[in-house]
Amino acid sequence: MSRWFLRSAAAVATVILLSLNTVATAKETSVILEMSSGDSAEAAYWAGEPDMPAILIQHGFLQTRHFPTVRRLALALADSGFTVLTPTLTLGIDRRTASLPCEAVHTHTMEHTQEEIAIWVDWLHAKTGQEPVVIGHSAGSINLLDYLTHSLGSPVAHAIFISVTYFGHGEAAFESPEHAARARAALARGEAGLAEYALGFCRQYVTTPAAYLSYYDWDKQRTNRAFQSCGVSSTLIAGSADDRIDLEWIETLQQHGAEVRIVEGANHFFDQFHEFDLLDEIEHVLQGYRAQ
Amino acid sequence: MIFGRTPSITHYALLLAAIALVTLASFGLYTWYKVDQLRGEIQESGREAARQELAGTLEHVLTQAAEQASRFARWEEVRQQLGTPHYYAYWKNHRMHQAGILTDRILDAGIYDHHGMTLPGSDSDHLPGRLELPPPAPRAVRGDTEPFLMVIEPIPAPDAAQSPPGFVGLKSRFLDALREGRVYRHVDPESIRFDLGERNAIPARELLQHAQFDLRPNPMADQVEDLLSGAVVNLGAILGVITLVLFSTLAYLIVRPLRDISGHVDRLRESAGGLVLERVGGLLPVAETEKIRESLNSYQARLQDVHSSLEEKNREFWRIAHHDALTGVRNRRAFDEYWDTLPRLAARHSYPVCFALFDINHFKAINDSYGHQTGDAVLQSVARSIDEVLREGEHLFRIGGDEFAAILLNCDESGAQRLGERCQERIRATDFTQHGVREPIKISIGLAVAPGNNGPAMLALQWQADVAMYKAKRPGSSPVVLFTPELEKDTQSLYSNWINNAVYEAITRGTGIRMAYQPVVALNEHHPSYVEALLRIEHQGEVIGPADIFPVVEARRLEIDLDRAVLTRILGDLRASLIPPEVGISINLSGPTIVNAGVTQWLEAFVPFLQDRSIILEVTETALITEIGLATENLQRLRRKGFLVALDDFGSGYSSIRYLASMPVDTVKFDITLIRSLDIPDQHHILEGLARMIRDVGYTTVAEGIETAEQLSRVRALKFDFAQGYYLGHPTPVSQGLQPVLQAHAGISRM
Repeated sequence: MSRWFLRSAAAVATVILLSLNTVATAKETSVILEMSSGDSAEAAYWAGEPDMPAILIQHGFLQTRHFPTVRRLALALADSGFTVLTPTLTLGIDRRTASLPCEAVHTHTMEHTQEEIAIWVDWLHAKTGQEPVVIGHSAGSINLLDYLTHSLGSPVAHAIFISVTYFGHGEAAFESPEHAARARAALARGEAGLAEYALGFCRQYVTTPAAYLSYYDWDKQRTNRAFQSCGVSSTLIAGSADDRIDLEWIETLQQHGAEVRIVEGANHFFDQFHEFDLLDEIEHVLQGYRAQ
Repeated sequence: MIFGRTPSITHYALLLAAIALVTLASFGLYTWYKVDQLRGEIQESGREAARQELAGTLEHVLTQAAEQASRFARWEEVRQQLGTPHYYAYWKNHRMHQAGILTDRILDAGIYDHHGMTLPGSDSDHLPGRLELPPPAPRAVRGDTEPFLMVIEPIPAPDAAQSPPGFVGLKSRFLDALREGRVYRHVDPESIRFDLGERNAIPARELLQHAQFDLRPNPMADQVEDLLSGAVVNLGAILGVITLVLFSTLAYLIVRPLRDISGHVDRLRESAGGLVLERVGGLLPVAETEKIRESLNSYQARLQDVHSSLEEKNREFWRIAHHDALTGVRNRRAFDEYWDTLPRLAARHSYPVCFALFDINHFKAINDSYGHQTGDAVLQSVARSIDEVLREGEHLFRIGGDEFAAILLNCDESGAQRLGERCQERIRATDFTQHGVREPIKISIGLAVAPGNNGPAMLALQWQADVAMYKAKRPGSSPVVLFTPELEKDTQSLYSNWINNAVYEAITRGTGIRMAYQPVVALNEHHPSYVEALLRIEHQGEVIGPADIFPVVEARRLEIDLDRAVLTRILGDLRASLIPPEVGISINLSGPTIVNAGVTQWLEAFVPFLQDRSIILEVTETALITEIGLATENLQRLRRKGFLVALDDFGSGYSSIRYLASMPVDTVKFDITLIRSLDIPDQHHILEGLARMIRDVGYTTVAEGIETAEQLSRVRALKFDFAQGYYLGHPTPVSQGLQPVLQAHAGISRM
């Protein structure tokens, strides 16, 4: 019921095209959609060639579509003739344009993110008439997984997860079971107030227990399960020098049918010279997708 | 002049110095005022620069505050809180200030919805719970220790066309921002403060008007001010010194010499001369003042010469006026002056005063025998001899023809007696034969002594000396006689002391003289009646008649003085119109007056009255015979002026009738003794014949002494022209009017 409502809402969402925004390229436009929360979200859109796949690129945790890895990738793909959409999650802020600091008040949840991704995927699908390829970077991949697992039959042709990582206790994250236990205890006590936790790369993450746990619970096991059940072919791209991911764990995901591609020497953000390697890997994946 | 007296050169010099100093002070004050004005302008310029500086900084701070507010309003977390304000209190307390969006100077910030209501969960002492809309411009609000800046900024809507979804309010400390916002050149940043007065809030754009601050020290301006002030003080001191030097020079070169000259003139005024003004210019003589000094000395020398000459001439004039030309001793004028001062001189002392009279015996006989030249030589020798006897300071006076007097101070009776004896000895020792006089020359000396402090006694000295002289001239008497009271008794019949004094006072001072007019009645129609002026002297209510007056006058040789006093009195009556016009006046003149050369001049004042009346001058035959030549000459002169001459007391003397023919006489007044002879049987023929003879010669005749009607009838029968006597009228003062008989006969006075 809720999913249907959200999709309906997305269908009737007001599409605002800011005519020929010349910020990046002549083809880049701004798309603003009203989310189910009432806040509006904004995305950059490049209309590509009709026979080229449409691509949605989802930014990482607390970031925006302006994050360099996302931005470079979008521009490169748009230049290559792909239709590209890079939305910015609202995270509870109307038309959010800046990354949200860890210390800010975080009331957003994985569910909110999932709904917003669904709206954008539906919009892109409706816009291009194609089943888009979704690309997630870092925790954005978890958001896409959450969407995919909760939107079975969604119009997504393929998923590419770059530098994918998970929440919950792990080598690359600051959160710990103690934080989760504290949040759960608070929930048990019915306390919905803000508190400081550690989450992902945030040591001081201010949020409610429920919102915290909505992210924390996406740990390695749940992520594994999501890969198994997402129902969409996927490709994982990781840098061999990325110290924020569990590279070994990524390589294990091949067992679930996912293609794993490792870029030697690249870090979590594929910056420096590895941005081209990343682009090559993605174009390679997309060419394979087009060939299919 | 403003001043009571003319100011001195010192006053003018001081005034000039005062004016110079006042001018200098005014100039100094004006310069000081200008320096102060310049200082004020520099300070004002600095203040204006400081104001501009502060204004710029304030503008910058306000701009920063506005940018801060704008940045805060555009902060997405603000929009987050505006959209989901559930955790606004937490966010505000834990996030807002730590995010680095707000500076440390932000005291507080808040979010308001589009109604201006603050988001729930925020309690703030600094921010209002509700905004007034539309929000006011940035403003300064009063704080406990300093004002704060309150900025309300609308939160921009995603769509610019939409109204703002809310507002943010920021309250900041802007004073620190002002102080630390820039490096001030003019403003002392620590002194910046704002006085909002009674208001709790003012628009931020008005902050500059309420700003107060001190200026940073301006070393250059202070240095310029110090230089200018020092220059003014130095200039004032230099000009002051110059003024004082000029004043001192002026005082030394001009004031001092002029004061010396002025002081010299003052000394000259108080001195008898002989002062010479030495150089007045000191070490620096000035030509002009030297010329004044030399001129003054020269003028003073000439003035002194003139003064000496005048003094010499004055002494000579005085000597001539007060000395007898013949004998060289002092004259009657000197005697009278000395006599007037004597009571005052002697009153100061108690010593006795001696009055001495000297008279040459039989001098007239000497004159007649040896001539006037010899007589004059005798007078000179006698005067010289007596003068040699007198002590130093004592003077001999010639008070009459052969009469001398001396007044000796501090000389008692014995001293007077010795003086008289020494004079006699000296006269006896004098050789008069050198003048051709063979007979011995003798003098009589009358002496009188009185205490100097006894005024009445002093006044009686002359009379007493006269009495003594009278005694001394008596045959067988000592030639030197000192007056004694006994001697006064002997001469009582001749002189009454008070009469003597009264007569003398009347004559010498003109007091007490009263004229009585007795009618001389015309007995026919050929002549008008007239009156004879007869002398009376009033003294302390008593009237002294001629019988008492003339002996004294003749004894004292006062005939001329008396006649002149009488003439003055009669002239006064005429001028006062006390005697009617056409009523003639007969005036008695003494022998000495008739022969005096001045008689014509003395009577000159009567000439105008001759126009409407006759004036008859009555002289006695005795007077005429004395010096008939001179008398005739004077009377002829007077007759030519219109006076008539009457021979008075005809028949009482011893003169020959021969003289009558040679005398210039118009009228003959028959003495009363002749008139009385009419009553004697054997003698009346003589009078009748004499009267007829004189009348026939052409003289007008007057019968005196008519006391009875019978006498009047007889003289009328003898064809006398006039009659006079008690029967016709007594002598009466003019104040009582004319005698009735005169008025009665006035009708027949036309002959």
